[in-house]
Amino acid sequence: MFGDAFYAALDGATNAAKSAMALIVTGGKKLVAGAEAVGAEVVQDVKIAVNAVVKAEQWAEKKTIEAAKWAEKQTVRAEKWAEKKTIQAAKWAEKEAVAVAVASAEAAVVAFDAVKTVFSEVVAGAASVPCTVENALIYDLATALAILGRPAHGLFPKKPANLPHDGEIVGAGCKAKDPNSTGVLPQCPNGKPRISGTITYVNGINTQYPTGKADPFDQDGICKSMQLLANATCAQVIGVYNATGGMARDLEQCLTNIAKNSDSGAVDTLSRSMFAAVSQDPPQDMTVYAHSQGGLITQEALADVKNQLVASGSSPADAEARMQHLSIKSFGTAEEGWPAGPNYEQFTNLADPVPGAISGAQLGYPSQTFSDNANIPNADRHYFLSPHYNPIGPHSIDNVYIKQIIAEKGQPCCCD
Amino acid sequence: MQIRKEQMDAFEQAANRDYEMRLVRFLQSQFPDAAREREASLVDGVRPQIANARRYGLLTEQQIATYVTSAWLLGSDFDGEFPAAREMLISGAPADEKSDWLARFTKALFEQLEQRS
Repeated sequence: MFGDAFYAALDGATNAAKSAMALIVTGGKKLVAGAEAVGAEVVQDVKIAVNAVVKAEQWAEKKTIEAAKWAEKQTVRAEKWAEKKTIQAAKWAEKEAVAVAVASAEAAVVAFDAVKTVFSEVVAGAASVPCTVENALIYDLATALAILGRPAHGLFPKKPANLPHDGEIVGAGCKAKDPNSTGVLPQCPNGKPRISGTITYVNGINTQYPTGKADPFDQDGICKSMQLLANATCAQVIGVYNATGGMARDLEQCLTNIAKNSDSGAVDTLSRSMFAAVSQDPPQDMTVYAHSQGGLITQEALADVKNQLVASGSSPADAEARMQHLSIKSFGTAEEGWPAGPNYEQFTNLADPVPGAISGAQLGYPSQTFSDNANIPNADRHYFLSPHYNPIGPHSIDNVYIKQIIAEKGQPCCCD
Repeated sequence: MQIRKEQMDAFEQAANRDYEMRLVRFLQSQFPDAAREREASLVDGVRPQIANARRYGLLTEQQIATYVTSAWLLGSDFDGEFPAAREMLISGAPADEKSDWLARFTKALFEQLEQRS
C-alpha cells in the first residue's frame, strides 16, 4: 500500500523530525507551531508532531530549560528512531499502518469511551483476589461462579433436589401445561395472534415461578420472560422451569450442570422433549431458547440426548445428523461446551459478567466442556454492548437480551 | 470462609484467561479488522500487551484495556515507537494519569491524521 512514495515521504519525515526536535530547544509555543508545520504527508510525521505538541504542553510551556534538555535527548532519540523506522518501514506499511489506516479519530474516541463502560475498575491481579472473593459471594453471582468453579470447592455440599415445580412444563396462564393447552401466546389486545412456530424456553438462576398470583405475567419470573419472548418472536412459548433453591444452591447446581451430572428436573424434562423430537422418523424440528443457567441445563440435556440416541442404536454421526433438527439460541451463558449437531446462535452482552464467569468455571471441567464442543461460526455469535449501572443488570433476559433480539431481528407483527 | 492457595491460583488463572477473552471480544466489537482475525491469534497478541501494561504499572482492568486499545490502534510496539508515550509510561505518574494520558494522546494522534489526510 505504501511504495516508493512512502519511503520518500519517510525520508522527508525523518528530516522534518530533526527539524521539529531542533525547534524544541527554543521551547514554548514556537515548538508547537514548528512541530505542526513539519512535513505533513505521512503517518510518521504526524506522530512526531503530536508527540511534540503533547510534550510541549506538558514540559516546554512550563519549563523551557527542562524542555531544552529533554529536546536534546529527544533529538538523538528521534534520529535513532528515524533510522529504525527506515528499516522497519516495510513492516510498518504492511502491518502497523494498516491498523492506522482503517481506524479513525471517531473510532478511537468510541473505543476509549467503551473501555470505560465495559471494563470496571477491578484491579487485575492476584492481590485483589481475597477482596474479590468476599465481595463476589455477596454481590456478584458471576464472579462467585468462577470462584466456585473449582472441582474441589466443597462449599455447598448439598445438591438442590426436589424443588417445587422443578422441570415443570409451563404454558398459557402461567400454569403447568397439559396436552390440551397452548404455550404463552403473543399479546394482541385488539386482534387475534398470528402464531409463528413454537419456542421452548429454559430460564436461568434465581428465577421465580409466580403461580397463584393475580397476574403472574406482571411479576419478575419465567412467565413474564415467556410473554416478552412471545411478543418479540410471534411464537407460542413453552417454558421448562428451572426451579430456584436460592442463589447459593443454584450456583452449586450450575457446577453440576457444567460437570453434566446434575439431578436437575429441568434437564430431564428438556432432554425428554428433545429426544422425542429428534428420535422420530423423520426427526422433528425443535427450537430452544436458553438464558444463563438455562444454557448449562440445555448443554447437559443435549449431551443426554446424544447418549440416548447412541444407546438406541444410532451411530454418533447419525445422532448428530438427527440433532441438526434442534435449533438452540442462547443468551448470556456459556459460549463453549455445546455438543456438536444442533444449530446454534449465541447472544452475548459484552457488559454481562456471567458468560465470562461460566467460561472460568468450565475450566475446572475440561473434558466435560471440550471433548464434544461444536464449532459455532462467528456469524452465529452475536456480541453487543448494553451496560447497566447495576452489575448484574447487563445479564437480564427481560431488559437486555429480548430487547437485543428485537434490535437485531426486528419487531414482527404478531396480530391479525 | 477460607480459600486454599491452589484455589486462589486457579482462580487467578481463570480470571486472567477470562480477562484476555473479554479484551479480545471487546476489540472484535470495536474494530472490524479485529473481528476478521482468528480469536486464537488475537489472544496471542493481547496477552503480551497485558503484560506490557502491567510492567508500566497499569493496574485496573480499565487502565490495561486502555493500553491494549492503544496498542491495537497504534501498533504493537507503540510504546517504543512513540517517544512521548514511552516517557509517560515509564514515568512515575499515577497509573490512572498514565491511562488517561494515553487515551488522549491516541485520540489526538488520529485527529491530526484526519486533518492531514
